[in-house]
Amino acid sequence: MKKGPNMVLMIWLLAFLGGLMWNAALFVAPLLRHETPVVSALIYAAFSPVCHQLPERSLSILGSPLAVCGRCLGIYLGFSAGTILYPFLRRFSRPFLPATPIFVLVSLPIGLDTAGSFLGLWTSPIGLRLAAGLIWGSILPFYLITGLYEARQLLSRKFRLK
Amino acid sequence: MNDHKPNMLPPALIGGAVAGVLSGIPFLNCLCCLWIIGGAVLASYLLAKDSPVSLTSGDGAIVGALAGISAAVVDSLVGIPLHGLNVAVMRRMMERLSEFADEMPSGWENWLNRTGGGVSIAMFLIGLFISAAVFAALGALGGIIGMSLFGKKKAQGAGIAPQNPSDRQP
Repeated sequence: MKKGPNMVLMIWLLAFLGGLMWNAALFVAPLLRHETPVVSALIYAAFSPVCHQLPERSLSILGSPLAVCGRCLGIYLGFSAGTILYPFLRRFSRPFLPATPIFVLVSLPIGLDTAGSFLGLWTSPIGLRLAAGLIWGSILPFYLITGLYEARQLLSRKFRLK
Repeated sequence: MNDHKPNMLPPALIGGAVAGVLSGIPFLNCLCCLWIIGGAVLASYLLAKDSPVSLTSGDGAIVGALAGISAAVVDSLVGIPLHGLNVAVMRRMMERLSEFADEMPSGWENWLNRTGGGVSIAMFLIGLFISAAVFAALGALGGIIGMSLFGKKKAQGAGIAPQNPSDRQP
């Protein structure tokens, strides 16, 4: 029984450190733009498949945009905020998924903003995109930690059976 | 119980193909990582639809990660014919960036001209590897979300396995 919570702690640590490094890279890319442009370009390139990186939709540091747009930044910062909240709300006991109505509620701002922007109904400011992403991102660790815990259980059962 | 679960590969390939195509097309890729998460949700839905038993968030993580990897492959393949268009978009982006930034790295226009010539196999493979890792992580997330929405089966008889306790609120 003791193995469960320890495994949750390990997965939480992985999510926390992964999120931290991911977010650090977003800020490091513009900061290194002039000192080490190759490293900076590599970071920008690494994030390019998952974000349009349009400068007019991104926050900037020292005159250079971050490696992702405002909405993506919100999601990733929200993810890290969620991992910090996780131990206070769930501790490290056996994880479980958030209730569907809560997911629908936190998805509403980003869903409406994204749909409206995509259909050309409005152009929301970066701050609003960031806030919508932040709200949605904060629930994601609760899914990821539960999912990875269950996936590990599944795989270990499967390989033990074989 | 695992024997009743359908093969994960077809839904992962379909979800990954949809996500890869949509995220690879310029102008449509404005939804960023949400296409990958959406494709993985679709993969979860397709897996759950064909499954006679309840599936766990672990199944969602696995099918989502597979969908993410196949999305990375499709995205890279879609990117080959659209490379010229992507360079044009990149050029436009760099020009906009030069309006915001104080000074641009020297020779960026030459770099774009060189890049416009084609993609080397080494760069293609490095890009594919990085995309696969990032897309797998985002896909796992989407798969778990999808499974939380579609993975539960209503008990209809003795043959239906009970819902996994970890997928419920206490």
